[in-house]
Amino acid sequence: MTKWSMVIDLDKCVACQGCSIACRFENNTPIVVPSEAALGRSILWNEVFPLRSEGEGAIASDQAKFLTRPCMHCEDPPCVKVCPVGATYKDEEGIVRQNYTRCIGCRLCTVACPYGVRYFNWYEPDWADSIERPLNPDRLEGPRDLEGPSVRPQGVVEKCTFCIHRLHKARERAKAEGRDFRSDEYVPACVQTCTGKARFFGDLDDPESTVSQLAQSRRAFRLLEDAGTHPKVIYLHEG
Amino acid sequence: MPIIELIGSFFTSAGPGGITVILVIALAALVSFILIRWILQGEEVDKTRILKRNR
Amino acid sequence: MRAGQTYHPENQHEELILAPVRAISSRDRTLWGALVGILFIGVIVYIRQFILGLGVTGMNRPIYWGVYITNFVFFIGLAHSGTFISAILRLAGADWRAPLTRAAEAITLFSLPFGVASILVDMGRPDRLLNIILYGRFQSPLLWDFTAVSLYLFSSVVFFYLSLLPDIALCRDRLTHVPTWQQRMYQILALGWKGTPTQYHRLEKTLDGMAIFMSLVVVTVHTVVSWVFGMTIQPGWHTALIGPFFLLGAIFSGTAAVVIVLAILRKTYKLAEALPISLFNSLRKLLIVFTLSWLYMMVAEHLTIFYGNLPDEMEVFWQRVTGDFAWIFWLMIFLVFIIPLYIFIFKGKDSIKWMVAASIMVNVGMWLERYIVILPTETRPRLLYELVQGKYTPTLTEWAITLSLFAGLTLLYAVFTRFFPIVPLWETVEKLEPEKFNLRQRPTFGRKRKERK
Repeated sequence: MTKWSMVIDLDKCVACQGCSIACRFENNTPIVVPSEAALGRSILWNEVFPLRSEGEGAIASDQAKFLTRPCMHCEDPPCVKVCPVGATYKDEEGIVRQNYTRCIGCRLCTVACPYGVRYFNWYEPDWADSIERPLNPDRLEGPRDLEGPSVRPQGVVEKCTFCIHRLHKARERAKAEGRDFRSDEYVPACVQTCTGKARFFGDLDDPESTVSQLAQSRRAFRLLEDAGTHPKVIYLHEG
Repeated sequence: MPIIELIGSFFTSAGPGGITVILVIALAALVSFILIRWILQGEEVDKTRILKRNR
Repeated sequence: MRAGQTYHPENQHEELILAPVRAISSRDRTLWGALVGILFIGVIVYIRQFILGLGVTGMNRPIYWGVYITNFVFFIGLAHSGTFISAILRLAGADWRAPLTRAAEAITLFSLPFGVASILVDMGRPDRLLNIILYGRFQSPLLWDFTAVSLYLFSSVVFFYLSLLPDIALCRDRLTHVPTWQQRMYQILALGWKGTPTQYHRLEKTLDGMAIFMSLVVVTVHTVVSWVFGMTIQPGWHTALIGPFFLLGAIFSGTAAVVIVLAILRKTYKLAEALPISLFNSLRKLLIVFTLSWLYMMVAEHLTIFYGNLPDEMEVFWQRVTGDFAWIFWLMIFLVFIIPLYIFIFKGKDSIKWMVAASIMVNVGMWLERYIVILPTETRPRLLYELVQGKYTPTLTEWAITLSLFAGLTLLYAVFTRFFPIVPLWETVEKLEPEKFNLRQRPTFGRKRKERK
C-alpha cells in the first residue's frame, strides 16, 4: 500500500520561502490584510519559521536556524480522532484529508493538533480586489465533498493536503494513457519549487524510493517524536 | 431527504455516530412518556387499606 | 374527597407563595422589556457575525477558542446547581432543601439552553449543525458532549415538569382571576392531575428514580465537557484531574448561584417565611466544603505540574502564574477562594447580604477560572516557535453576545416566576400526615421496607 511521505533536508534549505509561496498559489490560499496578519490569522499551509538554537522551544540540533513545516500527515492523527463529523479523515494512502463541505468549523481539530498545522477561514476568502487573480482551477469535488485547492467557504478549517489534486491528476493521466501509476509521478508544489532541492516526496512503503532511503539517514528526525502521532514528514538536520 | 441520508449514514460512517444520539434521546422520550402516563393513571385504589390504617 | 375534584395538600404558606403568580407588575414589564432589548441586541450582533464570519471576534491563531467556549463551560456548570440540590440532596434525604428545589432546578433548566447557544455561536458553520447527526463520529469528544448535554436538557425538562405538575393543578384550581389563555395553559399542562394518593405515591417514586438518574447524568455531563479539552494532548489540558476539576467547579458555582437567586426571590416576592434563613445557613456549610474542595483540586493539579517540571507543562504553568494571564489567575484565587472562604466562615452565618456578596464573587471568579483553563494552553503550544501571536482581546461582539446570553437566562427565569410558584407547594406541606399519602419523609436509602404504624 502506498504511504506518502516527505523528507526535508535542513542542510539544503535556505529558507527562501519559495515553498510557502508556491503552496499558496497552487492551493488558492486566501490573502489577509495586514491587520489580520498582525492578529496571526494568515493562512500558510506551509510555514517557514526562524528557530532558536537553544533555550525554550529549541529543536534537536545546534545549527538549524529555520524550519519549514507542512502538515505532518501523521499516521495516528489527533485531529482525525476528535473531528465530530469526519470532515477530516485519513485515506488509505496515508494522506490526512480535509472536506470543506462537511466541516462545521468547531475547531477542535485545530486545537488538538500539536504541530499547529491547521488554519481557519475567519472570513469569506478574499483576494486582491483590483486584480483578477488567476485561481488554480483544479478542484477536488464530489457530491458532498470539496477538497484541495477548491475555493473554501467561510467558517471551515483547511490545511496542507500534499497537493492531493496533483495526485488525482497524475492518476487520471496514467489511466488515460493505459498504464500503471508510478509513485514518483507526482510531487506537491512545494517539492517541485524548492530552490535548494531540499524537499523529497514519495512512497515510504516502497523500499527503493528516495524518501525510504533518506528516512534511514543518521540525520533523520521527526517533530515531537514521542507524542504518539507518528508524523510522516521527516527532517534531516544539518550534518 | 434527510431521513434516508440518516439511515444511509448508519451504514457508511466510521462510528455509531448520530444514530447513538438519536437513540439515546428517543429512549429517554419513550421512558418519560411511559412514566408520566403511569403516574397519571394512579387512581383511587385499595380504599380498604386506607380504612384499615385509620382504625 | 369529592369525585371530580383534585386534592391539594394544605400548605400554610400557600397564599404567600401564590401571591407573585397572581399579578404582574409594571416593574416586571420594565425589567422584561429591558432584558428583551439586550437579547435583541445580542441577536443582531450574532446575525452580523453569522454573515461576516468569526473574524469579527478576537480569536486568532493559535487562540481558536475564547470567550464563547468559556461561556459554554460556564453555563453548563451553572446548570449543575439545580440537579445537585434537587437530585443529589434529595437522595441524601436532606429535607431542608425542599423549599428551594424548584428555584434551583429552574436555574438548570434555563441555563442549559444558553450553554447550547454558546456552542452554536462559536461554530464556524452553524448552518451545518445537522452534520453532527448525519455524519457524527462517536470517537469524538464533541459527540459525547452533544449526547450528554442533550440528554441532560431533556431529562431536566421532564424532571422539572414532573415536580411542577401538582402545583400546575393547584394554579389551575386556585388562580381564577388570571387571563383565560393562562387558565387554559394550566389546564392543558396539568394533564388532568387529580392528586390521588396513588398518583402522589407514583410521582414520588418516579422522582426518586429520576433523582438517581439525574445524579449520574450530572456527573457524566460535566466530565464529558471537560474531556473536550482533556482528550487532546495539549499541555495544561491533558490531565486526568480535569474531569473531577470541572465537576467540582460546576457544583460549586451552581450552589453559589442558587444563593444569589434565592436572595433575590426572597426579597422581591417577600417570601421570607417560605425561604427561611436556615436555608442560607445550610447552603453556607455546603459552600465552605466546596470552597475547600476547590482549593484541594487547584493544589493537586498545580503542585503536581510544578514538581514534575516537564517543560511543556511548565510553559503553561508560568503563563498562568506569572505570565500574560497572571492578573486573571490571581484575581480568580481571590474571588473564588480567599475572600469567599473568609466570608463564608466568619461573616456568612445568618447574614444573607454577606452570603450573596460571596456568591457573586464565586461566580465571577469561576467564569475567570474557565477562562484560565482554556486560554493559557492555547498560547503556549509545544512547538513554541509556532507562536506568531498569542494575545487575545475579546471584541465587542463577544461581550455583547455574552451579555445577551445572561439577559436571556434572567428573562426566562423572571417570566417563569410570574406564571408558576417558585416554591414547591406540594413538597413543603407541614400540616398533612405524611403516612396517609405516602409522601417522602425519610431518605431513599436506609428506609425500612415495612413501616406500618
